[in-house]
Amino acid sequence: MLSPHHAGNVAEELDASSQHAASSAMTAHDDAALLARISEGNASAFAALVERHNRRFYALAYRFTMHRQEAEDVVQDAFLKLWERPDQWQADRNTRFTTWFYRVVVNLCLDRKKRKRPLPLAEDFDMADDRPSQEESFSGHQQRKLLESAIADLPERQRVALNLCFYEGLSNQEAADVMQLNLKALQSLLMRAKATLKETFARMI
Amino acid sequence: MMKDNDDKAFNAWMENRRFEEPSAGLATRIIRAAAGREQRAPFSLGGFLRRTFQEFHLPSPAYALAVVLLIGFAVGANAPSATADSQDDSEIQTLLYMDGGSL
Repeated sequence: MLSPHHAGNVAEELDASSQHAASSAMTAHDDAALLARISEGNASAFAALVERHNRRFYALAYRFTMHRQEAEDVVQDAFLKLWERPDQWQADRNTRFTTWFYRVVVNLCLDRKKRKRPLPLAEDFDMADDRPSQEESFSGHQQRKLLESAIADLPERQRVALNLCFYEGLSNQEAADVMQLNLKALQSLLMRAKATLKETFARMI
Repeated sequence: MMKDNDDKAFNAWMENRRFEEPSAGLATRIIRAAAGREQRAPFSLGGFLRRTFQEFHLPSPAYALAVVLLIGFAVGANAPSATADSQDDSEIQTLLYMDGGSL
């Protein structure tokens, strides 16, 4: 039996959840409408779509490249591909635009990484050996560098799963859709990624 | 309790990842870049033929195609049936017959 207080909280949560679902469905619907106009050559619809989503896709691209300029280039390339060939996204495939576009951005990031030599890291990125002796205490900066290095060492699919779920806040099901995996396979990738990172973390403390 | 603390510390460490905000004008940059580009239509045979005819500036593409096809059929139909190979074969047979006759 729920107390009135709890019942109130649950009602609020349900309300917030349904509002979120409704707003998400509305956004998906808006995206589909914008894309229909983009395929007719409507530049203002394209501008609206870019304004709406550029930051979220930039954030994802940044998680892969760890370089602002590179991440911006990836997002620009992805949107330009969409502008030139809007028919590549097909509403009747029952895939939300954002799910499909996350996939496009991830693939572009992975392709770039395979094709290009590593970019110079940002100026504050120290390439010194991150592994301290046990006596050394870790500063936040060192911890961050160790985290970057541990994530970079993860197998590609684990890294993608981690970036989508942990850093971009996608649900497991959404991330599985982006990666075209079933839910269990995605959960397994996430578990393995976290287990590896936990080992690194345990060695650090 | 200890495990909870470890998990919290682990999550805090994970959330400590470096992140740079995008340039303020990223959206504008993308929109401007798109303004200079034309949209490409999906591939279709009709579209491909239309573009090809536009490229060669044929006055009446449909008639020109029909005429070219007719000329091709006419040339094919009037070509001698004997090919170079069959001519070669008959020459060899004649030579053999003559050789056989002389033997």
